[in-house]
Amino acid sequence: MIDLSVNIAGLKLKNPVMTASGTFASGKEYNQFFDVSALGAIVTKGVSYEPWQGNKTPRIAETHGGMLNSIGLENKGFYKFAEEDVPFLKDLNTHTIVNLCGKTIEEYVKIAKAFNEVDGIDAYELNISCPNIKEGGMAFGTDPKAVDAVVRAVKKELKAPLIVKLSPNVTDITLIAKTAQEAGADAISMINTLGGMQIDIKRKKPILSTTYGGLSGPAIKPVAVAMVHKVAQVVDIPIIGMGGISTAEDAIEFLMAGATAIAVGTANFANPTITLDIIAGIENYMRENNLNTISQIKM
Amino acid sequence: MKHLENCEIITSENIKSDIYKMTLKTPQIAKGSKPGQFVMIYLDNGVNLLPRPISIADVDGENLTIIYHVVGDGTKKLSQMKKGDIVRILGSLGNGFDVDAKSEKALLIGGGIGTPPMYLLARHLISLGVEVDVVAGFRNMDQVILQKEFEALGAKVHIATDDGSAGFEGNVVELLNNNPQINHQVAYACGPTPMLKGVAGWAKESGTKLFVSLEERMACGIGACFACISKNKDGVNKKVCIDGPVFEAKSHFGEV
Ligand SMILES: Cc1cc2nc3c(=O)[nH]c(=O)nc-3n(C[C@H](O)[C@H](O)[C@H](O)COP(=O)(O)OP(=O)(O)OC[C@H]3O[C@@H](n4cnc5c(N)ncnc54)[C@H](O)[C@@H]3O)c2cc1C
Ligand SMILES: Cc1cc2nc3c(=O)[nH]c(=O)nc-3n(C[C@H](O)[C@H](O)[C@H](O)COP(=O)(O)O)c2cc1C
Ligand code: FES
Repeated sequence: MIDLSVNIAGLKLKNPVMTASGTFASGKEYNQFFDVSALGAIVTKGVSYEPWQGNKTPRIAETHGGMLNSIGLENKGFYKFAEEDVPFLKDLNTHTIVNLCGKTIEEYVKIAKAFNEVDGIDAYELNISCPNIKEGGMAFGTDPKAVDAVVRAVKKELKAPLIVKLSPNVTDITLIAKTAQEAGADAISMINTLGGMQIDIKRKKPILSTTYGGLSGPAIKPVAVAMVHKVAQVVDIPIIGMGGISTAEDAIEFLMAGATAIAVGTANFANPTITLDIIAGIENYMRENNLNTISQIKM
Repeated sequence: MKHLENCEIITSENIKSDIYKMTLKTPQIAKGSKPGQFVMIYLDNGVNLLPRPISIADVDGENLTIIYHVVGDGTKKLSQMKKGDIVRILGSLGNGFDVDAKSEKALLIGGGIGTPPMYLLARHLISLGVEVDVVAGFRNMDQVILQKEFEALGAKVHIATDDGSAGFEGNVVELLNNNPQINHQVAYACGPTPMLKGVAGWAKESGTKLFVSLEERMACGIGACFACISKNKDGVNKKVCIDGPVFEAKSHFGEV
């Protein structure tokens, strides 16, 4: 009997395939094409306490085997999310994880506290790639001190399990991962997008309104696999691996690198039902290799 | 209803300089399509991950036609595909034109490659007995498309080119200002944003109710990614892929 289930941060997921924040909204749109309850978990788009307007367009650019985005975490804020998205998420027969964002530690704490009053969310993912406006706009996730402070502050308030999502735009990601673990993270997810830029050589200017954006998609996969592999050797908490996964083979690479579960982001744009193919592909791989559990997928 | 379909290319032809016309067999998508809606075309080559949004130019039974300009890598690769090849498509997307705004006469305005969606709209309105004028602007005579097709439907066609190589010399707004007799209660426009704003200014002065179809870069096409935002006059973010692509000009642009 093949058992696809995995345990992450105290949740038993029916399979290791989740969605990457910001590429799947809250799942309603994709539910038009397939039953999103088939997924191991749904990770929502980032939610901040107040609504955020996001950046000017163009917000995306396509790159060779990847894309850049500078959406700027546009979202409708806590109240509308709780009113419009939570009832949908609650009714699903899968785990739901809400991605949280903020621009100050106070904002992160505020949104965590607000969600304590909301039923039906199984865990939270802390996006620490947000700009820390009190420290000149540098992402929280690039500074171990800021990571320690924000993870501790949120963990202290939050009742549900906390996953900390790492930024790859750092010199030593293992240091940040260890910091997050010591500060109380129940799991780590990685990686967020890599800094990038594309120039329109005809117009002689950057494509994105913000000049720089975040690179995602197959182009970043080897970077992500290496980072997961490094972090897996220094932390004890489970890792949710992501970055360019678009096939079951990609997912298996991440599991072999040391991830316990995986998330699919940009690939949803290239094929809205890709997550189902990935789940089926992992099961096939296990059958062909006589493996019964996900943890047996090893190098 | 939105469908994801594998579609066979029935015909693909180069109709004018770098403009292509492709007809695809899309039993489900074609059936439910409205004028002004679009499809997302997946390139499935491992390099171009994002699907390309292209307007529906016509539907006929199970067949759906698109007309597109080769402007970059994706449209170039699409133009190299052949009859019999399979293309994955998501559709039909977006709100489409409000064709219930029943008027006896309607004005359809196309700017360059914004003209194709006007074809399905013209056919639809004419079938409802609406008298249709089409004003279409192009860079030069090599870019003029669909003139005969519009005429064959029974529409009155007015062409403008920037260099005067075909029809009126100037842009569509200048053409409209020069021809005050082309004046209807309802107008629909698709083209580059500066042109749409120009037309919106004309519509305000002439008291015409105008619907515009906007373009923005898209990743998902279904409202999930927040790539395709257009701010309306009140500063509210609208998603072009699901709130649009068609907007009522006055409520979206405000004063222009
Ligand atoms: C609702 C809608 C309907 C459209 N209908 C048509 C049509 O009927 N015929 C036609 O020729 N074109 C149409 N366009 C524009 C068409 O989508 C772009 O020309 C096309 O995506 C360019 O792709 P590319 O790979 O050749 O160019 P590249 O510049 O290589 O594309 C890079 C990226 O930018 C995006 N992009 C580039 N230009 C545009 C643009 N003008 N609008 C949106 N995204 C863009 C691409 O989709 C891709 O993600 C429409 C756009 C929208 C939003
Ligand atoms: C359009 C877009 C929006 C994103 N929004 C968020 C977000 O709100 N919060 C977050 O933590 N990560 C966000 N991400 C990052 C993804 O969740 C993921 O970490 C990254 O894209 C790498 O995975 P992928 O290559 O599978 O896309 C976003 C990515 C994209 C492409
Ligand atoms: S294209 Fe994704 S929200 Fe419009």
